[in-house]
Amino acid sequence: MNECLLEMIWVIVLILLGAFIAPILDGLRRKIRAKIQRRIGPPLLQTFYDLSKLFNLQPVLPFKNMFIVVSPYIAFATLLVLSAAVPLPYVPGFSTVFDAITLLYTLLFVSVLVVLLGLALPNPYSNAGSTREALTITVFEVFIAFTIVGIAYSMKTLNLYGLAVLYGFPKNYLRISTLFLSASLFILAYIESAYTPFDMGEAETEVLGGPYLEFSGRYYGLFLYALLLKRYILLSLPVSLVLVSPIAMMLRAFIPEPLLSVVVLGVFVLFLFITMSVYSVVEALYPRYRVDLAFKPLILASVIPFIGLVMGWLGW
Amino acid sequence: MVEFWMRSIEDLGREEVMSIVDKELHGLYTEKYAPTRDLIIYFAPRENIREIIRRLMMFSYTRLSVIVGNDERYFRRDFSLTYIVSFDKQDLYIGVRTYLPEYDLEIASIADMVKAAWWNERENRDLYGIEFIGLKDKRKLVLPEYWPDDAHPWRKDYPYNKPVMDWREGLPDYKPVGRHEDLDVIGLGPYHMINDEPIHWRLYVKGETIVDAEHRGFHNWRGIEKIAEGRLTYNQIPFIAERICGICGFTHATSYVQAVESLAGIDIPDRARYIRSLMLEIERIESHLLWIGIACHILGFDTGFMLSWKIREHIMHLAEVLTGNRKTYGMDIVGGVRRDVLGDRLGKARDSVKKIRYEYRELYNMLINNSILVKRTRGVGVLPRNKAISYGVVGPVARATGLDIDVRRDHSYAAYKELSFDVPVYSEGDVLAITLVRLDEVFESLDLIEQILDALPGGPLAVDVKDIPENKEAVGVVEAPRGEDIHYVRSGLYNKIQRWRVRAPSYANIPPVKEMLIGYRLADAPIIYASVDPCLACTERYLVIDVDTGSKKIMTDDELRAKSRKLSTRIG
Repeated sequence: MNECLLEMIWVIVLILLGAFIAPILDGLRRKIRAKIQRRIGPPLLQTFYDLSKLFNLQPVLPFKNMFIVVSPYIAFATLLVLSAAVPLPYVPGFSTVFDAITLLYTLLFVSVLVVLLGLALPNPYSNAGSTREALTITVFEVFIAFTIVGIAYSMKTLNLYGLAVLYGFPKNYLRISTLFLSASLFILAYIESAYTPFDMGEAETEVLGGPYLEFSGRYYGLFLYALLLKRYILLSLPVSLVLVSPIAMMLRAFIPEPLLSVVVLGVFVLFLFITMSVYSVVEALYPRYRVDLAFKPLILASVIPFIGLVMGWLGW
Repeated sequence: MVEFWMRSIEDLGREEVMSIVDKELHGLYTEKYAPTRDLIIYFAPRENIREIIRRLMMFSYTRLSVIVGNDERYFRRDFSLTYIVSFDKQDLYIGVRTYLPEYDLEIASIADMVKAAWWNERENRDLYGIEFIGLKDKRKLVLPEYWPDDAHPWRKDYPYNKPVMDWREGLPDYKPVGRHEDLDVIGLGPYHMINDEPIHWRLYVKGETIVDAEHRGFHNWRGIEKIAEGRLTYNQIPFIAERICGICGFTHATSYVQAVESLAGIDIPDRARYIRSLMLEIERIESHLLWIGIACHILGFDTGFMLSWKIREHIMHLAEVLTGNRKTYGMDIVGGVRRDVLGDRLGKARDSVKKIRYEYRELYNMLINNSILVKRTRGVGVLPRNKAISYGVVGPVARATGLDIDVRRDHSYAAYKELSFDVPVYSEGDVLAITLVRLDEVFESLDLIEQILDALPGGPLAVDVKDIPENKEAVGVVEAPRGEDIHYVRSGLYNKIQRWRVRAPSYANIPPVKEMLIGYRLADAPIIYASVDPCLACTERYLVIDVDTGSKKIMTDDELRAKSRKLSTRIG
């Protein structure tokens, strides 16, 4: 009973953390890009102000359709729940019951939902943006599949909590295959988050926001929030597995468990900020790909998790 | 397609070419005269115009610059059309003029042969009612669709306050030319992320591939020339000319005053020539940096956008230090310049140039070494050389297709003859080549500013100008950041102009965008369109329309002043 209550508390903590930190991470991203561009940039909480403004605006939709009206709520609610499944050692949220495939494909479900919406809307820009998004998802599928299978094969589990714990053990962590799979996780989070140069689907100067074009007010606000949560969850995968897990395994000898969970959470947040800073620097250095130009790097990138998978299979 | 430039004359001198042209056109024209040193007008019957233009375009480095329509009924009861062809390597403009009586305003179109005539013919059709036989695209160009077919506002007897139509009757829809029912249509503009000014592109796409494209612009056409004709004095016009464009306004003012100085035979002081060149180069850098920023933004590279505009701030500050204004310097008058560049500011200007060069070098390296940026622009929006000649493209777009033309060198003006500079030319004709031309030109302009600051001569700023001779004509040209900016001026009675025709570079560069778009992807459309650096303020000039009554009128100085005061009071 106590364990169940504790898990419930962690679920609530993780959901609140996700809801709070996702816009903050976006604020950090905007601030760092501004610094690189030699601007002052908006305050760290600007994304909150933007969301608050959107939630207070009257939404205008192209036509009344239950699917379109309900979709932003579904997307937001799904990702809010999913943020409690962030795999962190000693922080048992939904990660104890979720596995990697469920997590990644639920994330993908939200992307597909957005694509379907964009295709359903009577707007050629939405249609074009959604088509690009669909093409990117399809091409990137290979990368995601290799990464999941590679990690599952190396760690012998797909359970998220199990992964969070096992990834940090030196016998797993110091393998060459893990090096490739870790790199794959960072790449996966970056590309799947649609940071520049992979923001073809929403490209504002080309397709005016693509699938999101016809959404306004709270509907767009919910989609935006959902997108930020998706980015946070994706970012949490490499951060927790590659960076937090080994540290947690080292600290467990020195810090007792209830306190260790809090420390792990603190380290997780710290690394989230550091990783997002690195991502923001990379993002500021490149223009956007054209969708056909992006295919080559996306396919070539699949070589990295494939090598990780093969090495894991060979036992390296 | 007609082949151009079959006869190579670029190495020949002006006199030699003039005699060759005389021989070539023998029997096709009735008389000729030379109003100024660099302009010769041939008079020819309308039946021969097509053949004359074809023969002129056979010579290398020639292009149709502009077709100037004019209502000359007060002089000789006729309308006139003057086809001005530039001979770029001989510093020569040849005008071919034909007269059309009021009762028979028809002439054969040349737009099928020389694409540069396409917009010019449509404009003259709108404004004078001249019918071009064989012109396929008979949509209105500068006037809106609902404008009555018998109302031609450029005619001298067209009253300013004539009601156009009752707007409440309902406006006719825009009728696209393209009929591609099996294709998706994507409208780009009039309001779109990449449009700073309104323009509409109708893109017919299959998947993401553009199969056809269609343009409708001039939403803000303002008819600025009409304000000048007969209402403003010669020295008031430079100020309104400078307001044609918020980016390259000084090129318009300079182009206009050069035309007037040319027709009146005025030699301006050396110091004024140098100051004009100085400001023109500052404007070029400012414009190019603005474009580089926008191009980066379109490609999703906001770091390049921000850094470029940061450097642009330095050049704007430099303009403010030298003239007192960041933009719209108000320096040009007929006969010289109004204000001096103060000696104690020159040191600051030199420091500024050094700083700009250093920061720009960093930006330049960052841009040309960015692999994605190069991939997004290489081989995209290619304009073949022959089409570039046919459309008469100018400036960086022409130089990116291998056409070695630059008005600063070819029709030298201000102080450029005494300054040394290179003209960057690339041959690929794609967006990357256009970008590289502009990137290189910024370095050349910085060099030129340094040369001007070092060699700035002393002396007066302007000569005293008396009355301008009546019924004279001339062209004034300036290499604007976007290319040749040509102003045709004809003097009238009572110290007022009779005809002023402004042909901004974007007027020559926007029509071929249609060709540049076809075959490329939707993702490329914004950067292809932006690559010509379209300036719609230049291309469209203004007029005031009362929305309630449909009538149009010209605001007087007092009315504008009163409106401005009212607004200021409201703002508080």
